[in-house]
Amino acid sequence: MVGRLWIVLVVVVLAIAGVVALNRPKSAAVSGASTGASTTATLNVLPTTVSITVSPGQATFGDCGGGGKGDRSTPTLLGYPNGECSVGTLGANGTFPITIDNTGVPSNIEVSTSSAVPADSGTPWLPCSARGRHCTGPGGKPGVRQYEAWTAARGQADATQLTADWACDFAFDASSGCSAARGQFRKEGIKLIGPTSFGDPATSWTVTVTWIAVPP
Amino acid sequence: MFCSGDDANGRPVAARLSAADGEYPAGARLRLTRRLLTAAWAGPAGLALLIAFPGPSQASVGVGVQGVPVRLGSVARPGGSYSLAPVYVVNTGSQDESISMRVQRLSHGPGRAVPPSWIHFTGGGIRLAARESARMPLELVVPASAKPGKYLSDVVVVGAAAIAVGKTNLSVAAAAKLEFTVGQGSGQGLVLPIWTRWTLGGLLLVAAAVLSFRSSGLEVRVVRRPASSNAADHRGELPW
Repeated sequence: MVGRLWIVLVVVVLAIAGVVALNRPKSAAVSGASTGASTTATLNVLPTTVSITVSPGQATFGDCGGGGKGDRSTPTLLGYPNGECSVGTLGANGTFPITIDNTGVPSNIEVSTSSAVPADSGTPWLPCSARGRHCTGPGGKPGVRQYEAWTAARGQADATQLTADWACDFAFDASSGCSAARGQFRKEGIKLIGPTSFGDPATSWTVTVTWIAVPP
Repeated sequence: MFCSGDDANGRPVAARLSAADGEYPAGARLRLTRRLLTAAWAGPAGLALLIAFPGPSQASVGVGVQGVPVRLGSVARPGGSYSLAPVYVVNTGSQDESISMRVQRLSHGPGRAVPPSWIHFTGGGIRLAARESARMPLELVVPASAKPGKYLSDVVVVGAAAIAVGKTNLSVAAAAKLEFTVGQGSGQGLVLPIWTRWTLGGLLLVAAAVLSFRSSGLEVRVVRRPASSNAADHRGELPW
């Protein structure tokens, strides 16, 4: 009697095992061949865009100096006439806090500046330079409602004078060009000379400097 | 370590500085351990937060545009309008940017500059989040007075973050070449308004009809038929 019970038990266990085995999902190795399972792989490629990135997106002028008696610049406030401020401290041992990165295909990097707009939306200061709108102040410096600005990088022989029109950013090409290879970046600073007089009571002015990547 | 010396009043003072285990009470050891643990995870956690959420001053601005020139597949005709392939634009910076487009001649090469008024940006200005891209549709509208020839300019895409008053705002731009050719108009160089062309065409048709009629030798004779049979008696008199 006990022997028969054992036989029945063994048969039942084998039957259950068989059912489980039949309904069990096939192994990965087998399924790959028989059910067409697939895998996904991502392929990253070099960008084909013309693109540029500037960091940080905003900066504050400091390291100010110059100006006349009684109206001299403080370290953070521009004085007049023709006070000077900069983003970073330019010079051989200076700091250059703005990073311009050519993140796309090889391109020419050019730069321009806007008018300086007072916080009260009054009359702006216009950029002046030797090659664009001439500076009308004494000694070729900015006149009333004018300012002059440059960008410069460490070791750069000639700073890039900024105007309202695009100009080659010479920091990118030692041979006085502005061609930049893919991934090439430069750290730059900006220097500004203010007008002989401000011509507006606003104490805060906004300037926008724009870098552009142009296909060669 | 055992240090000794005199206080301000000349009395001797002693201080013991030691990291030996047996010399810390249990509570002090626990506090020290907690501080060390806090310092151990706070540094990397703060660094991770800075990387994940860069402050406004360190955030970057960036923009990209397709490297392939924007071209018109066919020759444009004066007076025609054409849809150009949408331009691929991407925000390569780390923050939201407003994207605007304009036409400007930056590329060097032969060809007339494209007047900006010929290109209509039907999508207008848009905002893109960091790493987001879009395709912006363009329409070329060639005026009837357009001169035939090759045209070359650039589509300039400008990306800028929110303007901060009183600061130097740094913005970015990228350019893609814009190329197309304008062919001869239907007037073979003599461009006339549409109504003038219709009027001239009508006059030419009338002239051609008159000429062909005359050359055919046909005549049209207009004969007044008398109103009644005794009309001959009253010849030369009008019936009314």
